[in-house]
Amino acid sequence: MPTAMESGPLLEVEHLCVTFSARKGSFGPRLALKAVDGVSLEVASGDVVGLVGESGSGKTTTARSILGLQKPDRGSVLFEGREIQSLSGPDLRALRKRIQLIPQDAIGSLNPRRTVRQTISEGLQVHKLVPKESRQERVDELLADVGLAPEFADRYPEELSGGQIRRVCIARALSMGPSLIVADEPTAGLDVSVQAQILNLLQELRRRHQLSVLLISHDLSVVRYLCNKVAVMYFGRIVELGETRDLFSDPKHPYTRALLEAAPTVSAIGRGNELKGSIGGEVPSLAAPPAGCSFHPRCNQFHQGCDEISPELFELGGHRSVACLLYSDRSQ
Amino acid sequence: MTPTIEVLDLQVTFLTSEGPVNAVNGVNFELYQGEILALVGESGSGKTVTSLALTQLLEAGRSQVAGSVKFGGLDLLKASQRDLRAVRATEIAYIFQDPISSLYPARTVGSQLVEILTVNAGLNAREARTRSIDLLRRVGIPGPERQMRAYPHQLSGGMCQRVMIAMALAVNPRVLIADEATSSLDVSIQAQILELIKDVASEYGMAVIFVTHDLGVVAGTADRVAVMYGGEVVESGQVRDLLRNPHHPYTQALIKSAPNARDESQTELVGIPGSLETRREFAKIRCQFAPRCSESFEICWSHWPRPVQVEKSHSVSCWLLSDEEEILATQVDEGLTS
Ligand SMILES: Nc1ncnc2c1ncn2[C@@H]1O[C@H](COP(=O)(O)OP(=O)(O)OP(=O)(O)O)[C@@H](O)[C@H]1O
Ligand SMILES: Nc1ncnc2c1ncn2[C@@H]1O[C@H](COP(=O)(O)OP(=O)(O)OP(=O)(O)O)[C@@H](O)[C@H]1O
Ligand SMILES: [Mg+2]
Ligand SMILES: [Mg+2]
Repeated sequence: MPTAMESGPLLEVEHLCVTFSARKGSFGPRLALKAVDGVSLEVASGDVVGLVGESGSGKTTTARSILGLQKPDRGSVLFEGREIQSLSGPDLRALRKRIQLIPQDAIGSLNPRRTVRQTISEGLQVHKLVPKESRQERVDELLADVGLAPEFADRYPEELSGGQIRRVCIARALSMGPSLIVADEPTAGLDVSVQAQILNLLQELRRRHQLSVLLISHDLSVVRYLCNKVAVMYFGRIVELGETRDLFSDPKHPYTRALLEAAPTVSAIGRGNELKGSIGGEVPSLAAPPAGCSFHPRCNQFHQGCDEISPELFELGGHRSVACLLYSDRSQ
Repeated sequence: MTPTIEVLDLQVTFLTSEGPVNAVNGVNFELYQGEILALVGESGSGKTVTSLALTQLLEAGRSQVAGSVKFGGLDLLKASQRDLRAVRATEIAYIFQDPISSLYPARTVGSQLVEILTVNAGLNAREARTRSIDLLRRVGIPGPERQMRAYPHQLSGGMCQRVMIAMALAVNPRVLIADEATSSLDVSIQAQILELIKDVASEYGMAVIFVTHDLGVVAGTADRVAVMYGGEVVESGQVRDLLRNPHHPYTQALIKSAPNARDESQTELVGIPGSLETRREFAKIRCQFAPRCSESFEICWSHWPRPVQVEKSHSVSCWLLSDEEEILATQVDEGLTS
């Protein structure tokens, strides 16, 4: 391992762009759909970075590119200073062990013909992580970590509940002892007590083993609890980046503000049986991206220029960056 | 008023290589027109199995289902396959817990929607197409005309979930069973979808069973809540009542362990120690939650707690709510009969 890199971030994503293509109409011309449009972010060792944003904003596509599962058309993904695209053979195998994905489509990622034990021990076996005789014990331990009794080891995926499947995927990722986990909605559909157990486990691994996590979640309370940094994505771009506490207490980008305000809470029952409203306006289509700032058609602070200039991420100091003309104007 | 759907003593057992697994054990509930019932409870407590059992969607050879499900003059658990197919096609619609694998991967979103509308709702192809686009728009899919031609893998997780929601609402069902239907949606789109479901429920009298782990969503959406633990409903009541004044120790712990997006002070989450056990026996011989309950006492381990009415339509199955006399009487009773 190159020692020079040790002080740099563990993961460095730079100007990542992913474009899909589609046809306009059945026989129409080809359209380029920019699902990820110039995403840059860093995850240092021991960091838990939250990636939040609207459904369809490009979070999963970003995650898949980081894992090398989706080829970006531009930009780079550096893990410990090395471009992952350039890795092959044993280097790539080593990388596959050190970065683990907890996929959003949990059930789709499990082989229906394999028991939970076979699924979880596969990595242990391939990478020779524990001696054969202690493999069974290790699997039981991992299951216990995610709140599943040993008897679940012999079940097939279709014999499990949704939350149990998700936890098997978490145990599978943890089995490899990774340095970075890219977790795509790992707690979606988990009840709060199981969720608490998983979050506390990740917290502990981070404290004890400097585990880093890129956490994609729509659940803002989970993000607030676990992450030290947060990146907010909108329509393929990062629109705000900052330390969790600052970002939650003083959101800058109008989208971040609207997002935080829309979160439902249990205490909401105190104030009548009403949900917080959704953000007004329509989510733009990738086939017809708005000119200028992509949030401008829905923004309540729209002003002149917003429909012409697409703002770059702008550093505000205090580790905060925002892509919004409201702020870049003020500084000039 | 007669309930739209009435579930009586529902029991489900799976036959596995390790012996029987008793997933649902004597669940009772009723659901009225236009009402939204939230079903909450720990992962593995039987929420999905309960909802699938209602229209016999569990694989017959590997599960045994008992009890009855009354719906429009039928007992769905005894109904013929033909009747069941008709019920599932137009009257009881599902949004399944895992949306991505519930869509056909090799067919476009549009063709799946159009098929439902032509075959089940009797529209012609043109009408079906227009209505499909409208449905996709209502669930917030950007560029719905173009997305009609998209295959499921070309959509994000939350978009697949919304396509499922559109498919379920397409037929204007009398009952909607939504299993974690908003679990991968951001809060803004979630609010939009919940409003849509609430609107359809009040406008067309659609009754909804809303399975969710998100108590914030429960608070803002449901009329009533049933809390499940270990295959049983341990507490149920009106939503405000139950969330403000939970009686069962499990419900109390559940509400306490919810992380809060607006609470900065939260540094550690309190889970519920221990984990749900698999039930292998059918008998109601004790409180299922006793092994994890900090307040359990002798009788919890030896006798099943009957539901107790604590308020109008708020009932709780917990020995803490019974007085000494009742407990003694139960012990004596059971002593005599056994
Ligand atoms: N293979 C593909 N072909 C075409 N478009 C795609 C493909 N994969 C993703 N997209 C599009 O890219 C956009 C971003 O998708 P992505 O899955 O990254 O969103 P997301 O932020 O993870 O959303 P969610 O929160 O709903 O999971 C969406 O508009 C989606 O339709
Ligand atoms: N085909 C099956 N064979 C054996 N056991 C099963 C089968 N399907 C479900 N189970 C078990 O039945 C129990 C109840 O499952 P169910 O899917 O109803 O849980 P759930 O409450 O929906 O949980 P989640 O919130 O995790 O989705 C679980 O312990 C599960 O492992
Ligand atoms: Mg996604
Ligand atoms: Mg379930």
